[in-house]
Amino acid sequence: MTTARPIQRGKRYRRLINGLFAVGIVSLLAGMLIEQTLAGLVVYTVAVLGAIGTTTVLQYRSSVSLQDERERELGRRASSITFQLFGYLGLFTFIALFLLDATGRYPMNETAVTLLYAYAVICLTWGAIYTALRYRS
Amino acid sequence: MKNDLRERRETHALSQADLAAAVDVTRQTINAVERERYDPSIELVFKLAAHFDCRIEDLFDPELNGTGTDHGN
Repeated sequence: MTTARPIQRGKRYRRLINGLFAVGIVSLLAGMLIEQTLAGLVVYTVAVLGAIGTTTVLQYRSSVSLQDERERELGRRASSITFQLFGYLGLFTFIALFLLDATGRYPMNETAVTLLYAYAVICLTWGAIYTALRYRS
Repeated sequence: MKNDLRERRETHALSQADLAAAVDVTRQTINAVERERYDPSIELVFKLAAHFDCRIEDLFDPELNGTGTDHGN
């Protein structure tokens, strides 16, 4: 009834992108299985870079839509839930680790401190992006 | 959001895929709107109303008496 719209044209590109990711993952696993990890890793890297490159080009250099509004909304909700989950989990974990360290029951090791810094960087990045978006809206 | 999209679509003898192609969303999105699992954006609401040549209020009931659902539900 109409000529192909951006979201309809995007379907075949999504299949291509998903296919590239699948090829990459299968190659990596197969490489590990037959003790050709390096070869598997090379195929994986090429496939994933191809998928990311295709996605980027389509997003910024073409009128093709890879997702419609509902799929974008689902993605935003999934990101929000994931961030909240790890946010609260991390918060309570680090409070517990500090308490254990302070009471001398479990001294914070280097890995825990590194994770704490990574957690702080993620939270600060979220805050900076949120602030930038608030000013722009 | 309550709507009579399914009735309108069936009256016009359109499949979900036909309507999805006409308003440039996926068939799953049309299905979610019909099942009131997803509240469409203003842009999509306008497209649907234009497609069926009716007013938005004829197609959607926002349930303003405190029973409406959040966007994306």
